Amino acid sequence: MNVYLGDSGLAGDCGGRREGGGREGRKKQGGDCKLLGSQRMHGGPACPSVSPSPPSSPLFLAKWQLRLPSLLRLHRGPHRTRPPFFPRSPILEKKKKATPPPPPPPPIKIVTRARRDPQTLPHAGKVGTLESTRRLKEGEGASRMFRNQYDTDVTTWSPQGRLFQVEYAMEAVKQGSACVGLRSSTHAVLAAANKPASELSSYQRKVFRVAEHAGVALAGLTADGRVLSRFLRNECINHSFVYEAPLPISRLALRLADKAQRSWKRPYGVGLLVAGLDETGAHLYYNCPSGNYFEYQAFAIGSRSQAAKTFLERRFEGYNDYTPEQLIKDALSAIKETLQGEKLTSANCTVAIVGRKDDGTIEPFQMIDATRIQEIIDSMEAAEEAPPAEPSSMQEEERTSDAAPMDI
Amino acid sequence: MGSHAAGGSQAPPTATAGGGETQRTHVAFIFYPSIGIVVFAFDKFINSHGLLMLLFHTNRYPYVTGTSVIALKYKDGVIMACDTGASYGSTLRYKSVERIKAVGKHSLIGASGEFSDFQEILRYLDELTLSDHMWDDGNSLGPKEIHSYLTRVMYNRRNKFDPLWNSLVLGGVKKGPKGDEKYLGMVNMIGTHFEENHVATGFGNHLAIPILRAEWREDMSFEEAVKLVEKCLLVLLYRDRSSINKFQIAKITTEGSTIYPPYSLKTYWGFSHFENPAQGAVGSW
Repeated sequence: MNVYLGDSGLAGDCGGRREGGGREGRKKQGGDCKLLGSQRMHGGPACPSVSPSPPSSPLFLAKWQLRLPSLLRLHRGPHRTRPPFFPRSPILEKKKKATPPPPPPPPIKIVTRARRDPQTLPHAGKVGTLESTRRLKEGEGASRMFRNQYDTDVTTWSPQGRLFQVEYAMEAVKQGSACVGLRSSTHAVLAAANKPASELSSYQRKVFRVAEHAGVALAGLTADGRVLSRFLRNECINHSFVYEAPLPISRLALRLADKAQRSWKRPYGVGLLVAGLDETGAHLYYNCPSGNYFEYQAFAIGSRSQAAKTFLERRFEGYNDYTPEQLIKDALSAIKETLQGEKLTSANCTVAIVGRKDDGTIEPFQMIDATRIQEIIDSMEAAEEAPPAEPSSMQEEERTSDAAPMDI
Repeated sequence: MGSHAAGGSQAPPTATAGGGETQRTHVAFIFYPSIGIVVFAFDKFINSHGLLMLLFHTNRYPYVTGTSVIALKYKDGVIMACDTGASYGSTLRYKSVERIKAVGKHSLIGASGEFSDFQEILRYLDELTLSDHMWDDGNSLGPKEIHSYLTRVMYNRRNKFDPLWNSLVLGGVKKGPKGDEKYLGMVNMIGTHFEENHVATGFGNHLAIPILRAEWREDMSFEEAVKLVEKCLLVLLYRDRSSINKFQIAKITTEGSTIYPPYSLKTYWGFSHFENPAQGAVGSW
């Protein structure tokens, strides 16, 4: 409501408004409000024409009312003043009505993610709601997973009680090349398959020494793995400094798992096999991007790791009594399973071992050098110890005994 | 106005008609140098004592103190002994104070010096051993780890000019990869730490260590070790004014720790000089 325009919301003109507005009108009529004098312009704050009561109704004004320039007082008589700003000539108003109203702004296009009709997908009928994801086959990757509205944020739950971002991070682990870990009661061995990014490049380093008594092998985003290795080294050093004793492996794995519980950061896209020596013997832990960790006798992660796991499942029960050499041989055989027919050479794999020797001294965590690995490979092939590997294409059921990754 | 502005006036001297100039200089002679003296003293204090001394109320004197602790390794483990007294200055105020405590499954700790600081240290060690116990993963803190931890604590406190006013003796046995490993070490209030076959704190450094050095052997039996310890304790009782005739012996082996109930040693005062002390004194009355 614009008082200067006399826009009181009524039929609205002051009864005394001059038709034909403009300066001409004012000059003709003498301009100012007759009642209120030259200081009171028509339509100004003291102009009674903006009063709520209709201007056309005459009221008898008492003498005392004449002396009070009140907004509530009406004045009769023609207005000789113009509004201070815009003319409110009926001609212009008519013009205003003539122009058509501006067209409404075009509706803002809301870009939504493409939602594929589930019926058109090849596995239609096998899934229920849009939000559920099919258990994927080995090696397929996340490209076949449904995208859904609960997967943007690591802090968003899905109605089924899943954190999709964390599950996608675990998919990243499956993209990395294979890593294998196994342990006896005194020694732990980590092995990794080396896959160079191109023929010209060297392979990505996957096995890291964390302390004299511990090391990790990782699969997934190696950059994240580097960060976590540095963190683990720091933790071990701090513990060593205060207590002059090695950090027990279960506590090391716990600190790593705690680091995964950061709600403001994306999950670390790397799975770590943590192997090391303790007061109670050798230990092997697998740390997941979800923050879960378990102890294992033997485990394999990364792409085509199912073949290695099958191999290890057949043989793990005797591992506690294995000698270090036997452990290394089994680790190499497991890596061979993941190579899918490629020849296993010392250039293809990295093996590291940590343990306690018979005399009680510690054998510190170190990579076994390439010539020694080649010797072992040669002796294996000569003896033909390892049974022929089952092709991984026969592994249709995948992790049947596993629940969804969060179900612990 | 007048000469009231001289001396400890806080406001700067205002210009007054006439005598303003002389008033300002009079105040300047006293006010500005006094600031200078304060700044100078402050600067000297800071440079010699450190900023922390100003900020924190630090522990500068011990109040209730215990006297020496002695310990030595023997065949099965470590034996530790001390008296059960705590003095308040020169008063032998508390007579039943236990200054040796077990820590975890594998260690004993004994302390001389400020007793309240020892209680604080016991609380820290309690937290450590409790979290270890809750882990329940087969790993436990051995005497070496506890000794290292206490060294860090003592040294860091000393660096903050707020020491825990104690000399600590840490002994224990833990099964290591090469069999049972006996450990005996000492930390004092400035963070000096070392490991030895026999240690003593306080007056024991001067009175007991020479005896231990002369008579300690590897692999003493328990009885031999107790006899040696009692010999040292007796010397300390005779010669250390703040020790009392009530001692406690503790041992730690792979089976665990045992702190024996307190007992007294027999002392001998039948020297001829004590019988007639005024014999050789010459006096007029």
